[in-house]
Amino acid sequence: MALALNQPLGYIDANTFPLPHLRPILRGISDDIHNAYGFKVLRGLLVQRHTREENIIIYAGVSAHIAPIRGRQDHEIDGRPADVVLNHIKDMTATVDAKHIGAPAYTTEKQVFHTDAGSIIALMCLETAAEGGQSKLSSSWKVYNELAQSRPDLIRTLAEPKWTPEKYVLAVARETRY
Amino acid sequence: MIIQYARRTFTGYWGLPRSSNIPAITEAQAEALDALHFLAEKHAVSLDFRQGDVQYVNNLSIFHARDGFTDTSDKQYVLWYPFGDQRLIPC
Repeated sequence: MALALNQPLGYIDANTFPLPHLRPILRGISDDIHNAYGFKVLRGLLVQRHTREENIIIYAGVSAHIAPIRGRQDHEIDGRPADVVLNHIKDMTATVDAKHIGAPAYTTEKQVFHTDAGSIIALMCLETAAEGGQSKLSSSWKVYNELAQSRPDLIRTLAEPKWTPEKYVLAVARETRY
Repeated sequence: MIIQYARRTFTGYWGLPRSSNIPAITEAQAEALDALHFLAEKHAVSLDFRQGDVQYVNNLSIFHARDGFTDTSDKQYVLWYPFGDQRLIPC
């Protein structure tokens, strides 16, 4: 880890952040995510003992053993090319004008069920809310099967190519990017 | 089967309402989006997610959500990023 602190964060991988005793368990988590339950919660990281940067290094280092390929959430910051990997999910409403907040992730409001980018997503909790804020998961396969049985017309609606998603040009809450 | 889905790319949200130069969603599409959400709620599990936890989720077969919350001096703060492995994900 002392070596990692002297390198750009992009150098963090399973070789620069070796975990010889933990690696078999972490590879087992990868197997579970792909072939079994589809999710796992790692518990007990002592985030309160580390700086923000150290926690990010630990997060990236541990995660590199579970899934070595890091995704990118954006390709620029302030108009300059950048590989934006990490996102800070926190309430910004006290400091940012609501018209610049385009996602409930940056408020205290609930986030309804959705998926993000990447084949695996990871969330690390640095601080717990005073009340609420619980994470919930739901199998999309289960949802599909029940919908196919009860409302096959809606399955057809979901599958047809007539959906027009928004193409976001503005970066939302740029100040949350690390 | 792979589902990739986010409601707000079709309905808009707050500071990013749906652009006026693309068609509004149809009633059937709105009903489909609602059905996805209510069925996901019906079959959801809660993770008791707390400080020091890291959750890893198969993003191609599982939806995720977060309840609303209140902060006092404790602020909920979560780091998120996407990644992948070279294993094949069965459908």
